[in-house]
Amino acid sequence: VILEAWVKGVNPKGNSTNPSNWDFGSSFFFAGTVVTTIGYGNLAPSTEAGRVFCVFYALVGIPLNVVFLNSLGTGLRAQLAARERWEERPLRSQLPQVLGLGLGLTLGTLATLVLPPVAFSHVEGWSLSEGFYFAFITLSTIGFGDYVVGRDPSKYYVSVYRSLAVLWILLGLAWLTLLLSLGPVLLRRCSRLWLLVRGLGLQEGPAPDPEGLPRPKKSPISA
Amino acid sequence: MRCTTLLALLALVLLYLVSGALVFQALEQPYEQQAQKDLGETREKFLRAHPCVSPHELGLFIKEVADALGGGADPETNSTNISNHSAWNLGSAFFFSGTIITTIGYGNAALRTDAGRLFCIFYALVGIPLFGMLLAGVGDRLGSSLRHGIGHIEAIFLKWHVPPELVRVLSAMLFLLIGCLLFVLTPTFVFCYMEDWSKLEAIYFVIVTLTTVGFGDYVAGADPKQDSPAYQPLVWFWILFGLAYFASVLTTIGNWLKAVSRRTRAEMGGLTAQAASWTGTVTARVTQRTLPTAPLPEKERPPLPPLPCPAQPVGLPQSPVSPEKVATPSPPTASALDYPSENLAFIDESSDTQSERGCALPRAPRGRRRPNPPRKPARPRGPGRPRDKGVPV
Repeated sequence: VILEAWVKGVNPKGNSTNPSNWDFGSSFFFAGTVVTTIGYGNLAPSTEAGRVFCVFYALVGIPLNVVFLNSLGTGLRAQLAARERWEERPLRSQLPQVLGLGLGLTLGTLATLVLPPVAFSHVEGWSLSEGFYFAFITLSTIGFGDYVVGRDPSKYYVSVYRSLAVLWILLGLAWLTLLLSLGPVLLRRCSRLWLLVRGLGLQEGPAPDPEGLPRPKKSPISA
Repeated sequence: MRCTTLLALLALVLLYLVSGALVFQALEQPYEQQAQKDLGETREKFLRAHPCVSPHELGLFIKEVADALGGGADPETNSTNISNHSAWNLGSAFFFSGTIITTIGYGNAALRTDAGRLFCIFYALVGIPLFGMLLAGVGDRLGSSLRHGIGHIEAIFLKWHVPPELVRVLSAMLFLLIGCLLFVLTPTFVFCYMEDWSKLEAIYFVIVTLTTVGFGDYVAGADPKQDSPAYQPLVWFWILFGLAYFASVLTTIGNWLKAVSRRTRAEMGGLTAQAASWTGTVTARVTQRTLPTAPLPEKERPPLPPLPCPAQPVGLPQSPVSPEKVATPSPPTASALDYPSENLAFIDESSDTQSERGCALPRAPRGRRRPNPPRKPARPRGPGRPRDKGVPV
């Protein structure tokens, strides 16, 4: 019986007073895991109607989400590309731009890919490696569901905590999309710049490379 | 994509999430409360039937059981038969690595050791792009063979003097129908038979798997009583082909959603050209395939780096082909701005370039070219035209 109830998503430790798995925040979280195709599975619809709705919800929601992420990525990239007309600038002014771009990217990566795992591991009481494992499994949309935020019933969570987690997932996926689209561009430009610099015999040459190289390394996460 | 469009999309996604949350809450909460109540009653009954067990001890035992469940142990087996079935025998481990690289991630078996987790991260980093490449290849081959068959049927229809628009609709329907039959209905019945699920459960499992959501509440081949050795590999291959098909279906739906929101004249012009080129692609694709990849004209290169796909850092072999195929030179005869033909063009386009994120591919060239300053509204498929000259067909 315990097994069945566990499968149904009831927490065996809890008594009837503890918060429901399907209050609004959790339902929102669940909807987020559906449309991003993460699918942790700690919450899954168990009624017939819920399943039917889930099928159609996913069929519409997943493309919608993909379109959104895609347009966000291309939009950000377009802005960056519009701001920087690399080829028309002289060499000297390209270096600060590369540095600025790298700094921006590093900050964004820090804000979306590094800080949240740390925050999660702090809030949930996980170790740092568990936090990063969770973030990786989430943002690669694998979603095993062995670590899920906001599941521990003995902790008190702010009611918007899971909604915030959904927003983080959306942002993180968008950022990954941006990195994916930006990675090759950056790599190409940096290599060109590097060749140019080396051809002129300057010493700052290798400087832009470490700026550009870490990006593509991250990129295969959601490929 | 303009900022306002982006904001509108964000709002739409959030609205969609909220509405889904409300519906799921309404549907699932009563059931959950019922289950919780049942559990409480059973516990009370158990305590009354066995007065020797203190509630505290029972609580501890339940906690242990829950932990073991999380750890992948099966509470129904006792320690004597532990040797004959493990969640980590070779077949299951194969299935598990399949769920990693397809990003399905059922989670019915998940890693418990630190070394396993570390390995999993790097395994996924390599495996997911690799699988994307495989999926793209399979999807391309699948789409082309399907389209080949459909092309024959289309020729028959055209012989009967059926109007071309109708033919397009019919062939699209055929594409959907055959795909559904092959990858959704057949597995559904197989799973009904093999796993003793109801029809609805089987369809739910199929959809949840092929969209790579993968809740893991139903997993094929996870039942220990189920032991035909060919079953799990078969499931794996079904997942591979089904994902390729489903990526194209999801792309189509996404393109419909996108097409609904796209009203500007310039883009419409581009789409009609695209739609007109649709029939041309069927015949032209063979010659296109043999060409070396991406003979991009040099003049395209300076203003914008022409890597056509943001979703594939590893550079799939198919990716450069897709924009060319879209821009296949066929005279833009059809001037009708009807949505059906536009959507059909998307269907055609989408089934060529497959990956899990295949949805990103077909639209990529257009979004890419946006920042191009000398973009003229009269030539919406600007990148396509010069490329036509580079592609001798």
